[in-house]
Amino acid sequence: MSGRMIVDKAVKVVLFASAIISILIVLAIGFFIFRESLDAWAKIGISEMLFKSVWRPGQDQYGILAMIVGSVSVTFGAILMGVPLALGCAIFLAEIAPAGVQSIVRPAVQLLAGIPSVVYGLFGLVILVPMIRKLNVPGNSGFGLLASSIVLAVMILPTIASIAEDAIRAVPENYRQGSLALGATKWQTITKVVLPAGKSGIIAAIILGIGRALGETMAMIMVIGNSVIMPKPLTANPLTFFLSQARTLTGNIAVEINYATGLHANALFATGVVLFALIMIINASARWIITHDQRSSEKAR
Amino acid sequence: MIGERSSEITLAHTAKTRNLKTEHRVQKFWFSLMWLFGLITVLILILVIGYVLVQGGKAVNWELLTTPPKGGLSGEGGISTTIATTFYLVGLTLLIATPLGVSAAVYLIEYAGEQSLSSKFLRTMINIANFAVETLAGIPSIIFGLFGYVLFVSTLKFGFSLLSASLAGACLVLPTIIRTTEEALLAVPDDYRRGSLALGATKWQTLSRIVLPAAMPGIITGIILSVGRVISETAVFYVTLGGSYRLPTSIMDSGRTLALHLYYLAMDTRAFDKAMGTGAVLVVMIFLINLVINLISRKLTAGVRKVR
Amino acid sequence: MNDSKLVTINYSLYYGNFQALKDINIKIPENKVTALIGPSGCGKSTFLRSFNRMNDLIPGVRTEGSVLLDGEDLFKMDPVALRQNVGMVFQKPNPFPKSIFDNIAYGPRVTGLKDRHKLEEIVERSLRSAALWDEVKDSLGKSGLELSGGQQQRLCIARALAVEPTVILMDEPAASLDPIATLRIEDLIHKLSENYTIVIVTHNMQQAGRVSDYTAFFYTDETRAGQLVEFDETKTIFTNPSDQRTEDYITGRFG
Repeated sequence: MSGRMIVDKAVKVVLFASAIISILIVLAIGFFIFRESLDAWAKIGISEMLFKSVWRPGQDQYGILAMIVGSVSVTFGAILMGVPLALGCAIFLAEIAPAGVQSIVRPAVQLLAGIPSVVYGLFGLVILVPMIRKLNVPGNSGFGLLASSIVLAVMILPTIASIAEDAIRAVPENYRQGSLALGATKWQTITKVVLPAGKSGIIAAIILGIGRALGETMAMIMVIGNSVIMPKPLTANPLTFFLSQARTLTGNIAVEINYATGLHANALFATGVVLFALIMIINASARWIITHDQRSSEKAR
Repeated sequence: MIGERSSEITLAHTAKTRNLKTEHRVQKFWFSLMWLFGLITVLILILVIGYVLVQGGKAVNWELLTTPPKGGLSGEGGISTTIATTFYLVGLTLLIATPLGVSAAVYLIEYAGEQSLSSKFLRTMINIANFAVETLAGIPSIIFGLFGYVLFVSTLKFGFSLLSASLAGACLVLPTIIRTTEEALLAVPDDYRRGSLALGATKWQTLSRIVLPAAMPGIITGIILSVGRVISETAVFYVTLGGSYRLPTSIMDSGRTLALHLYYLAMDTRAFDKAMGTGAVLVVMIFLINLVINLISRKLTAGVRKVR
Repeated sequence: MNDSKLVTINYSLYYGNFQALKDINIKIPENKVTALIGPSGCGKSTFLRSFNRMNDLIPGVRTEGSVLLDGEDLFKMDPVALRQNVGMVFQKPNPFPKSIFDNIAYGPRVTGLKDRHKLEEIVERSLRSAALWDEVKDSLGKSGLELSGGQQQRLCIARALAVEPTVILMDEPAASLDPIATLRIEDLIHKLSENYTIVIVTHNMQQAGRVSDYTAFFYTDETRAGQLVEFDETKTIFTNPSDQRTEDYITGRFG
């Protein structure tokens, strides 16, 4: 075996080791976070943690239901505002915008994705919160679900828009031609052929956007108020629900981990496990939708 | 140029009744709405960036950039040490993540398809590795923070330090580097590989002299993307880097990146003007990074066109 | 040739500065099959797509002269209405990723038809006309993509028929099919010509000879602009062409 052959073999081993690192990291993340949470599950109890909404570390009360509801509510609000805008933007970029306009809007979307979350948080803090505070509703502080949903909607917009645009562009051109040749208008072609054909990619884009929303941390801390209370309408008007303050799962971890000790720290890791599990389910379903669709369309070929 | 103009001419021999005028009006309505959505997106960008740059710009001057923060309740001083810390952290993180990520991608793309790879164990490992990369890409950053906190800060006793933060940050950007490198490698034509192997070069010689140089612009794009990721990231470093505003003198020292500093200014001291100034510096950095990435990818696509 | 369905007068087409078609004058007769033949790049597909204005979709296309459908200027019509009247079958079968039923009902539905019974009626009639009914009548809910290539192409023909056009344009409809599927399509074209004006682009001389009543020969000169060299009854073109270039092409001396 010549020298260069030995180098060749050695390189292969080193590269293989690097490829394995990602597996080790995933396993280590799962292992450490789960291990640190074990005491919490054992001493506090699973149902006590997941279904109680009182979080008072000083009195060893660790219910995270309010945070789960907070995370889900703010994500819901962000989806409500962000998805139509993002899908509209994706359709616009893929099907409607002339090349010149595309070359302005697409980098804008890209840049939106790159802006640090603390900058969005600061913008929300300085602009949105004072604006919302002007709404004359008793108990309204400006901080809360509305401000955080708006900030989050803008943050998930580029994620959803760019993945959905790719999905729409991946629809074969001959579907469009076939539809137009049958006397459909361009809009009919988009809604009746292109969007249904790109459906799985579009749904995956939305699901990944939801994952992104659930995982956002710092911007949420900055505008949501962080009170550990079950979000509820401030007045008889159910819409004031969105003026309620809240805390997200992510915010709970970030705000308290640096000084937490003992069971309190364990409970924060348990919060992490819940978040981790939620995100894994969401990402797995996105993957399932995409691969499932690929398989069924491959079968058709 | 032929316009898609509508006209009222209906075809005599078709007995079909179809209200084309309404349909064109419906289309016009929806198209206008889509235009509006595109416009809103650009407006949001202009609003956020414009506000941060204009308001923050007032606070940005040479003094802010060159003096260290002095702590205190109103955020006195400048941001010089946080700029330095940001660069330290970016450098250290990429020093760890780049070799690992590029090597992993090279293995997953260049060796995974090998004939000699009939071993079931290797196949399974590669499948799991691909799955792991995808999983890492989807994990929210605060989880990386928690992981870094328990493993590097507490268990390994690195404390709140540049080392802990860069290790956690490396985990965060690893999937980005692996994926962009994979894409860059896949874009290298197979003829290059065959040509080199046919001349008697070993696989590694082929990779290091032909394939990797050809994939270099794509790999660099991945690295620059990761630089942006580290600059913008806050949650991971909030729980691994600590918050000292002094200049770190060793990798075991705590510190503050620009993004972290912005957070502390806004949340702890409520020094919004300085926070905006810091935000403006951050936005300019991200803007430059995007510009460089776009330049590289434009060059790449231009190259592809030439090959065709 | 008194009943001309489609007529072009001094028709030229440009992609930007490049002239793709030059001064074409033709009168395509009603309820006959007209084949467009010629070497690759001679503009015959572009010419075909002029009749339903699919060229409008390509940026930078400009035309001169006129194209008449039943004596009316095509370019003054609403392209959407025009395409209802002038159907098209593409080179590669392109059924939508929908059920067979929904593929055929697509055209009627976009024109506003919702009545399920009427739709069923149209689907059956179209599938019968396209000689596909017997093969798929028990599986109308199956995806159009699960059919074989030849069946897919007949599905696309049925889909075009469902809109009740008077003209059907076919752009090398059998190019991607095996010989048996090709023969079935040719039979179908023959049958359809009783009720429809069919214009077909083909590379295959034998096919042009078998299916068409009239043949138009296109050729490009040194400027690369496509021109109509000769247009006549198919048997005349194939047995006694008046232009040397046509004869050379037919006998396989080039192309």
